[in-house]
Amino acid sequence: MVLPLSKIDPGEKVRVVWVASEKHMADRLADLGFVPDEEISCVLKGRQGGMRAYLVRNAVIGLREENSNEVFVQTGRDQ
Amino acid sequence: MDNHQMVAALAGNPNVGKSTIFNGLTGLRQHTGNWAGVTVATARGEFTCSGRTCLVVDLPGTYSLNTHSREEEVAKQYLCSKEADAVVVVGDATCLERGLHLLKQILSLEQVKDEGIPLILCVNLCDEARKKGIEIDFDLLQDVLQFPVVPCCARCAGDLTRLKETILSCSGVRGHYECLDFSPKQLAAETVHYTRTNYRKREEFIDRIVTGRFTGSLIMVLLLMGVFWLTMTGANYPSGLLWDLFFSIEEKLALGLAAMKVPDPLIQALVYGIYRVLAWVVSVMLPPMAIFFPLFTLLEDLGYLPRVAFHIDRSFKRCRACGKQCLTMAMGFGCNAAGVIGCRIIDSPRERLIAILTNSLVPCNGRFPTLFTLITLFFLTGIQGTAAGSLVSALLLTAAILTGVMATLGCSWLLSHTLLKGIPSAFTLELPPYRRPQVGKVLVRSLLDRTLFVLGRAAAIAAPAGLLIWLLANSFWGDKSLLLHLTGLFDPLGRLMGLDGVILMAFVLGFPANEIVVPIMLMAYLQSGQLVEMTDSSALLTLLIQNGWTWKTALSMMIFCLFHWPCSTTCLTIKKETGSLKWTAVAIALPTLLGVLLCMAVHGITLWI
Repeated sequence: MVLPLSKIDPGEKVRVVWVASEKHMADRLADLGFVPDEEISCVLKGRQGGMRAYLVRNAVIGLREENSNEVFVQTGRDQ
Repeated sequence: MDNHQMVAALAGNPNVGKSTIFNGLTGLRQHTGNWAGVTVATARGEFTCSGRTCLVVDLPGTYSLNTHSREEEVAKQYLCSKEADAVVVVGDATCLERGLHLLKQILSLEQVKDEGIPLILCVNLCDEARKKGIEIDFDLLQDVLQFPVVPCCARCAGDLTRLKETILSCSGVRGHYECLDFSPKQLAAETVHYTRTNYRKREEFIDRIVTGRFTGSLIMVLLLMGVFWLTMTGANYPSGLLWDLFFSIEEKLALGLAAMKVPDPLIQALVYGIYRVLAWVVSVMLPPMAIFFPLFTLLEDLGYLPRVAFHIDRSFKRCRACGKQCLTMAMGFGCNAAGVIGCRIIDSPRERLIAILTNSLVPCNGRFPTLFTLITLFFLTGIQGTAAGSLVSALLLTAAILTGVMATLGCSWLLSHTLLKGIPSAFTLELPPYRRPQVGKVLVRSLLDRTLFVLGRAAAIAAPAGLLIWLLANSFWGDKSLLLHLTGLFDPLGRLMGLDGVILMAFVLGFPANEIVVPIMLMAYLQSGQLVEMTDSSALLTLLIQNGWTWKTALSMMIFCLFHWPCSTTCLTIKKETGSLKWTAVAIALPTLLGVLLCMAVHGITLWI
């Protein structure tokens, strides 16, 4: 099932499908490893509406909710 | 620095310990912090090994050479300038793949490819990787890349020597990269082996607590309080010692100058004007700084600050500001000028400006002593000197600082809804692994780099200020000194704010350095024509009460101490960073207006109590 990155729970491993951000942010995300086919996982869920942190290429990167909303990932969840 | 035989550039991702390697190579003390973007301009230093000298250029950390942030531009331009005879790409052993991505981009730069500039891959933080059970096959890595790969832990001298030798051996060598093609992902997968799968478990656990909904804020406030409590209780005793020392020297200095037949007015100006202000500034400032800065650096090195930014980003987001502003604000606690320079780490011009304009809303180290003195004198009646007293004072100071943080958020909100309208730009925050700080090095480094730097600056400003104040107090016009005339001028406005003319004038004359506000104030009250020594706090309290002070006056002064114009150094820095007189004026007007209005409001409210 494809979901926005912001919807996955800590510990869940997912695969990036599509990054829908505007160019500047998409470039930045690509540099960090948010590119299609990359495997990432959520490691830290902050407060409601706050940042969340993801493990990507073995580094922990914090993203704001509106940014992680624009990254679509394939989860292992059933429909 | 002209007689070097070769130039080597250090490139790499942010936060891989590049600056630590740079310091290790050159022996320079560049400040390193455990967060991205500490190096904002290129730093240069030299090392000599087996009789040859090499100039090392530390480029700002970048994730890539693609996007156009300031650091990436600087790094790319330098690499394309062909000035470097060799490029050392520093990677992090715990996330090698990212380093390889950057390496590949550097390899594809035409200038690097055409010139065949020799490359070296330096894999840093090998000790950290080993601890986490990450093994790297360096032989395979070198076989594929066909240029030297040096494993390194920046704290081991042997590794650094090997790196030096490798750099020098590259001099004059031409690299051939035409046939070199590799996939960073695949290469990393082939060379890196994880022997432990749960190596991140402990870190994740700590992160969950440190950024937790309740625990996060609790830990933040407790740590803040702890740092202040240690600073306050620890600084008292050495402050007193320094004080006694300086004043015993003062007498001898005056006597010595008199014996040398120096004219009396000159002695007065030199000793009771300049020397006394200097002595005051040093003995009041040095001990708290010598405790505060190392503690702060420890938290920084540990990797705690990015977690704070992560935790309170939500508030900054609501104000449409950049989350990194939290970090520059933290730098402002040390010195607002340093905080303003630190704002370079924010990419978006709008958000950088917001961070610069609001930086002086948090109290810097020069203002802590004033806040502390006022708290001790007026709010600890009866419990002074007890354990409860020091706790309450730490609590009150923390409250004052939280007020500053709140004002920062409020003003950021105001600015981004009026003068600097816009939506928050994209922002990513790396949470680096926790690292055990090297306590000894932290002590030395923060003492040398920060404490002495800030102190030197304060002293350089305090000396001429001391002379000016002495002149004002000792020049007479009519039957009153110029200082008194000035006081009278400021009195109406001061009264309206719950202060008086003397306090307001002290803030105006304290423009060069906030540390001298209290001394100027006391001087004016005593009309002594020179700064007074005030060792006994009860005498100080009596003096203030004689001049009509109540706890309300103290409260108003604390507010105005928090919110008034930035000091002269900060103003100059703002002018330099923004390049605009208009924004400098806004940076001065914003906190001043806030302070004046708040003081008037508080004064109005307390009138009824």
